[in-house]
Amino acid sequence: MATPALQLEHVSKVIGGLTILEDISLTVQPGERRAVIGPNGAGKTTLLNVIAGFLPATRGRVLVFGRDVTRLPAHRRVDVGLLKTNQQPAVFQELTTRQNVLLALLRGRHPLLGLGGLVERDREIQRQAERVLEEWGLLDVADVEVKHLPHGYQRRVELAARFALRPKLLLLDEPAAGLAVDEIPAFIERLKQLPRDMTIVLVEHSMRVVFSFADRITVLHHGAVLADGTPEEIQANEEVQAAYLAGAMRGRDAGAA
Amino acid sequence: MKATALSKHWRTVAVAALAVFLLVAPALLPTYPLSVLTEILIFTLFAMSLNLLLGYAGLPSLGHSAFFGTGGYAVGLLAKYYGVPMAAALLIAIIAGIIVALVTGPFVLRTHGAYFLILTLSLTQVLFGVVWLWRDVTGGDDGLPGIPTPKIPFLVGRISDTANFYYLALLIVGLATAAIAWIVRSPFGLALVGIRENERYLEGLGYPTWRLKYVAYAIAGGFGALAGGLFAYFKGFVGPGQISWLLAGEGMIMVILGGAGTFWGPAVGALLVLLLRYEVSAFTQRWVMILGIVFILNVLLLPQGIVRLPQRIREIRARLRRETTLVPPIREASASTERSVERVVERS
Amino acid sequence: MPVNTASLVIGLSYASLLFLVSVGLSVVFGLMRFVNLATGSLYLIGGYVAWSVARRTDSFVLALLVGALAALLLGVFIERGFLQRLHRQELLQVALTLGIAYIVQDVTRWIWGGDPLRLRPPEIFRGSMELFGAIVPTYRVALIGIGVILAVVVWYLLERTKWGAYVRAGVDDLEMVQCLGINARRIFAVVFALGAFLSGLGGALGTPVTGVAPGTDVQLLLMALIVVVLGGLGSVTGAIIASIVVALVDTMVRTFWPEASFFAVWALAAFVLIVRPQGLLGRTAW
Repeated sequence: MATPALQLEHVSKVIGGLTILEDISLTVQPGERRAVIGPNGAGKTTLLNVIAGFLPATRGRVLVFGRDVTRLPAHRRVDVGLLKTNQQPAVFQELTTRQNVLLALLRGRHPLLGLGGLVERDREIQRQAERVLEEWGLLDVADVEVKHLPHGYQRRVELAARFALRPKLLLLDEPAAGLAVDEIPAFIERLKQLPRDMTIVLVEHSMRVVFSFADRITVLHHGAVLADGTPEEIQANEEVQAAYLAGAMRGRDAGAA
Repeated sequence: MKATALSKHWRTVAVAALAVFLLVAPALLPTYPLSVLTEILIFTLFAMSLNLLLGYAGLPSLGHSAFFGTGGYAVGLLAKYYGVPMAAALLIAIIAGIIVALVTGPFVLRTHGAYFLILTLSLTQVLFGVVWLWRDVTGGDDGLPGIPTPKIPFLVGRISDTANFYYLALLIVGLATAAIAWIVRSPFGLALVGIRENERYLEGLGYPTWRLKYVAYAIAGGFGALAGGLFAYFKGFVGPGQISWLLAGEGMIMVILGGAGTFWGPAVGALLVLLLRYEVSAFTQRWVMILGIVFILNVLLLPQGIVRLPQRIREIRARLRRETTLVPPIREASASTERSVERVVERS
Repeated sequence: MPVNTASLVIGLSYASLLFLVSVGLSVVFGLMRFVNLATGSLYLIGGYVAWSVARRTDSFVLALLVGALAALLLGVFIERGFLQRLHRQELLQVALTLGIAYIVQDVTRWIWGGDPLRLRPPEIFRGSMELFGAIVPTYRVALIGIGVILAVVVWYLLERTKWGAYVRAGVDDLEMVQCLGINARRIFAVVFALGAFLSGLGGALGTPVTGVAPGTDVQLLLMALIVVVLGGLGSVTGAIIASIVVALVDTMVRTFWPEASFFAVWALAAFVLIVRPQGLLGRTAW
């Protein structure tokens, strides 16, 4: 039995008296594609933030590939291969595409917090950056500040930076947000091409994406797990239908959230 | 891209010309302007050290004079009472600055933005108060006069004392500036910019941002103290004015005026502010008002600083001509995106 | 430590002045998220203009009004002319107010000279009176009374009116308030103007007590910052309580170790910020 990629054991998050997450337990196997869905305010983004370490869990444990990361700050969780994207692409707007990629590549490469060496003269890192830029079709805009780029490109820069860090567990926060209806099928295809040695947990509103892509679905409602199963099981689940899916299913044919 | 290649060439030429000028300045300038130039050098270092925090890391400190004053008093005490030679005194001044930063860092760095501003101001005021009250050691309001000016031994008698100290200052500031240039171009420097832009995103990439800020704070403290120590030698005197928040405010003006987050900005800012003070005060007593007006114009019209003026002109011209910004046309390329993901897949 | 009636009166009257200056600073800080470094300058303008008007007209009330109005006008000018253009760019706004502070200090020095100026209180408040067995300056007592009245008015404005509710909501969550369709810019303008008016009024009221000179602006600004730190962002009650605490600490320390009062209040501020970054009664942390 392989070590699960992600385990949440009775995770709760309380902020200012409000229980945002309540006793959440779930297990994600390596290579699995898990979607987390639920109505607005169900706590989905908070859940991702707790897994990633941007918010400390009030109770419970978070384990990534068997390691207890509950007490680890966000930047240490990257060490175990955990990376997260944002609804708004997590890129540095004032920096160029190249610099965004360089920042990802430089991480951890230098001891002494990187006080050694000049970035421009570092041929090895510049070459790596060129390779990443080429792979992601970003060479044309390599030296353009990211703030000038359209949303799709910014998302690409965000993913390029994260992939450069070789994520083993990738958390995607509404990656389809901002896409037009006709862009979704291509997007789903791209998602499907992601390597199977990478575990993916995504929060999404677009039911099309979720049902085409996910191996398993976890439904959150009012901060607690309402249901957990394969897409077929979830579709058949009456509670889920009542609470959430009915409205969302109607929206499925119309496209994204 | 052609623009940057050309401007890089010009920049190297300009820097070289500047270096030559600085080296032969004592031959070109009479005593008074030379001493002003010395002061400009010292404040360039002060402003550059503040720029590491304010410009690069995005930490708006209004308390940088704490380090300046610490360095000044360290030098004052060591040189005046213990006759410690300059190199050692300055080294100890740097260490004192770093220690102040290391001690205050864990408190100061818990805050952001305006609260950081006020907290740095508060801590500087506390130090100011300590200096003011501890008359026996610091001389209180009177300060410590009579600090002997160090001289380069083999040049004594051949050149004026002013020129002698000028070369000392030039050497030290030059070395410090080179060190700062190196820091800023290192991965650490790029990470500082990341902190300024969005600390959370940088954390998400795996950077220990708090530690980075702490180190930046300590480095800035060390260099700030070095500037303060030099200034104490320069004036032959150290007083509470060198640890006052007014000096911190002036430093902030220098950085923003010249260009926060640029390398040469602080130098330009220091040059301008000091020239303003010396030149304008020859004509009118209202140089403070003029400084205020210049600064306001800077904040409103050229907030990126004077150093970024060429870029700003380009932007304005482009907007006037209704061109889009300096972005090359982006091809609609969903096809190439999928190919690129395939390539990623193949490589993993 | 001599905690007698006289020093209490002096302390509390100073608290009135501090409150007037710092409540504007606090609410502007809480709402617009920047530190108005020209706060002391507004006090200065209020004081100087009041002084000039009083000399010419012999009417203290008129001097108060004109002084406060002058500060209000300057505040509106700053806000309309400059701050609006830097909407939501907080560091630049702070920098701008620093520039204004420089200008105001120099211009007032130009017009009114470098010597401290004092204003005589109006006839009815001159001299001393007896209070709880001690002899205290009448004007100081009057200041306490005026301070209390104004504190209540401001408190009422911010805590009990609809407009005040918008302001407080804006301090908590500006985005949400904008979503409710409320014009943030207008609220900013009114809040800033009100703060300027109060600072100017404080300057005019304070001239018989603190005098006015180049440097008074810095002094008051620094004290106001401490009050805001202690009282917390955007809290009127906080400003009231913190003004009293700071003024009393300052006065008490001054009576037995004059030079240390400066150090004492700043150490207090630094300590509070370290332990509780949102101030003692603050609504929001940074």
